[in-house]
Amino acid sequence: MHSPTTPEVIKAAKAGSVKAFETIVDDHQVFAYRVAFRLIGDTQEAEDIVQESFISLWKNLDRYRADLKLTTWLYRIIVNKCLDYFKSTTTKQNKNKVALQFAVALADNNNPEKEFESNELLKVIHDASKLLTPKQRAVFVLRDLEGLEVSEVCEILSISAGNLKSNLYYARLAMSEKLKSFNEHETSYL
Amino acid sequence: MKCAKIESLIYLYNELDEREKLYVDVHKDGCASCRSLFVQRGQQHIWIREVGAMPVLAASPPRIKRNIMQAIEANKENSFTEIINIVTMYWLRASLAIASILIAGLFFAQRSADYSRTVLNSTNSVSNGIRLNTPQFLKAHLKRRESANQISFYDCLKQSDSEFLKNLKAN
Ligand SMILES: [Zn+2]
Repeated sequence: MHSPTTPEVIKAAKAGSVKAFETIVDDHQVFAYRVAFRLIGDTQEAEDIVQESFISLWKNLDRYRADLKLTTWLYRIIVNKCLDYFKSTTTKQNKNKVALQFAVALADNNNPEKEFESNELLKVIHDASKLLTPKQRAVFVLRDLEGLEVSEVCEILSISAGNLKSNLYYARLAMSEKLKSFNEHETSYL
Repeated sequence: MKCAKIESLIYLYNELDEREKLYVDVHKDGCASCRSLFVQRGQQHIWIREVGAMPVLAASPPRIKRNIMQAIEANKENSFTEIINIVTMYWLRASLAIASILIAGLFFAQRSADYSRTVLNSTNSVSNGIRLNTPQFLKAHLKRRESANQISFYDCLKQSDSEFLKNLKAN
């Protein structure tokens, strides 16, 4: 997980310190990229969205309220930009061509079987994610992959707990259907 | 019917409150089908968290950071130029406003001087039965202007009615 930025650094960045903002970028860019990549599934697009999001954060820092976590605010900017990306007409045309990936399995020379399983698991989740709407995917990425609290996910997506649960239910149902085959494959090894 | 409801709750087990969790637990203890789904979902949840912990396809953090910082520096310079432009614009506006007020002031000062003179002349002329803007009136008026270089502007303004009428009648 990312290290939290101190209030002093945020205050300095709000006052216009580029150096302080650089610290914020250092603290958050890895998770920012990971979220964007998991939602978009394309390295170049994810990079662009991360850059745009940080620039937007810099421009709007004076509007930042201390009662909201900086990470929550940044998540919100990134997710909104990703959802806009899905809404754009050019993206709609290319959406099916995008090779969605949630992660990369690490090469494990000592345990090739484990490496194979990881790759299989990624493939199943990747296939299942194709069936999800952008909102369902956002909820799934934030709650299940990133492990964020329900309240934080609601705040990021500006949705009610009921809306979150309904999107999460359909996302998990789709995942579960695909993962059933993985369940069977896994148990056959036992 | 009850199993269908429990199944949907199993998918959201981690989001349920304690009372709802207990409701699911009591049912699944006595229902093999729901218990099986619960175990299956538990395993799937572990796998999904495993994927969540995996790194994503390599990006270039130094390049991303460099691009962000460059854009911010450029934005900061633009903001500074913008402030300078705004200040310059306000100075320009203020100067133009002051100049406009001065010109308007001069105009009205001149106009009021002209007005008092015109009223004086025209009142006299009208009261003496001479119509304004007639050749007779203008001739007398021009004659008075010709002699203006001999007397001061102030004296001209002070010129008495009788003197003016004398000029008028002489023409
Ligand atoms: Zn049941």
